Amino acid sequence: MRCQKIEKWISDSFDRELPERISKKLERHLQKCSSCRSYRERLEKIHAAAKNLDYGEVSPDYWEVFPSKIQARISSLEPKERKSRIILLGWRWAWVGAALILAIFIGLSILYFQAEPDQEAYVFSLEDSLEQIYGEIGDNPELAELFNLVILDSIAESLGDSERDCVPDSSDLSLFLEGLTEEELILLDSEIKKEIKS
Amino acid sequence: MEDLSDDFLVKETKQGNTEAFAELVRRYQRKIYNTVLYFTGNHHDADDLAQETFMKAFKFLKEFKQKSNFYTWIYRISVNLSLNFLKKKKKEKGRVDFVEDYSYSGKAESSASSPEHYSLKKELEKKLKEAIDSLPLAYKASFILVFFQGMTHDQAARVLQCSESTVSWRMHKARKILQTKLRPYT
Repeated sequence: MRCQKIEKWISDSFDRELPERISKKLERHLQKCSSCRSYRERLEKIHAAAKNLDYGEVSPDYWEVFPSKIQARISSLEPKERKSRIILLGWRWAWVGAALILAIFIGLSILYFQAEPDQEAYVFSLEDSLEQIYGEIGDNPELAELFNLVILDSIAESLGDSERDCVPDSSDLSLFLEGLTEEELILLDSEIKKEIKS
Repeated sequence: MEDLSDDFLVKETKQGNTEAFAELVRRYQRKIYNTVLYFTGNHHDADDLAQETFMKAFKFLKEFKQKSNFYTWIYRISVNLSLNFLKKKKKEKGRVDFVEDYSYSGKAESSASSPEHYSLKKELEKKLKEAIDSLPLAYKASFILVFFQGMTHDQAARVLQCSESTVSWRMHKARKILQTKLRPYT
């Protein structure tokens, strides 16, 4: 266990990173420990062999040419960078154009879909009974709200000022419609027809 | 140009003086080349990586805040590129084996006193290269910088962005691995 610490000291001593105080301790240990001495000797042989490792020489011309190779790559890089900036700029305009087209498309879609439910609501009222209309509206709260508002406006418009206060809020409309008589429903239908014509 | 400091040359390069960068290349080309050569083990890849190191340095010089010196910074680039290169090679091959690419010098031949001695030395060299090559990358990087490039633990720690004690520990472990693998030859 203690020799493991010594092996670490041996490694540090090869790198000249061992403080002098510990270096003296190491030497004292090595004098009496043959195992650590042989560990150091083996490492010395490895170091000597590693220092002699040769990876082949590079010709002196290589070092002369190397900076100019880098220079050439740098100068070939600059126009490319400029070119890429131009391309990027071109693409930026393309993106602006695409965004504009998309915005126009979304705008038109909103206008179309906003107009569409109104027409559908009127068509339902003309062709089918109130039950059918409610069936078509289903769980769509926006459609139901819109339909209710149209009906309330029509009713309010046909009534006198004093009677307008009797028209319920749109939230009470389902109850209100259920309580309508047949004459009132005919009146309602005719009012809706008028709305469509206008 | 030769008398100018690295800091000055870096500032000049940032302002568009490519000749200043050429001087930095001249100053560090050998050190960088030799470092990447120890990683790759062959001149073809070492040439590519050395060039790549300087190109990357040039491209990112504007982002270099000069908190460390240029020497540390460019070494860091070269080590990172080398490590990435080795990782990629390992993925491609399953195991990196550059031993065949190593060129052997005449040093061993000239110092050999007998055919047996020459043969043993050559065998040790071969096994040593294999052993260094098989070191875990973190140990290998520390070993190359400290042993082959003569850096202190502090300098290597700055390049590798770790603590001095980590470098010290990695060196110890690298030596342990080498001596275990080379035991029959030492």
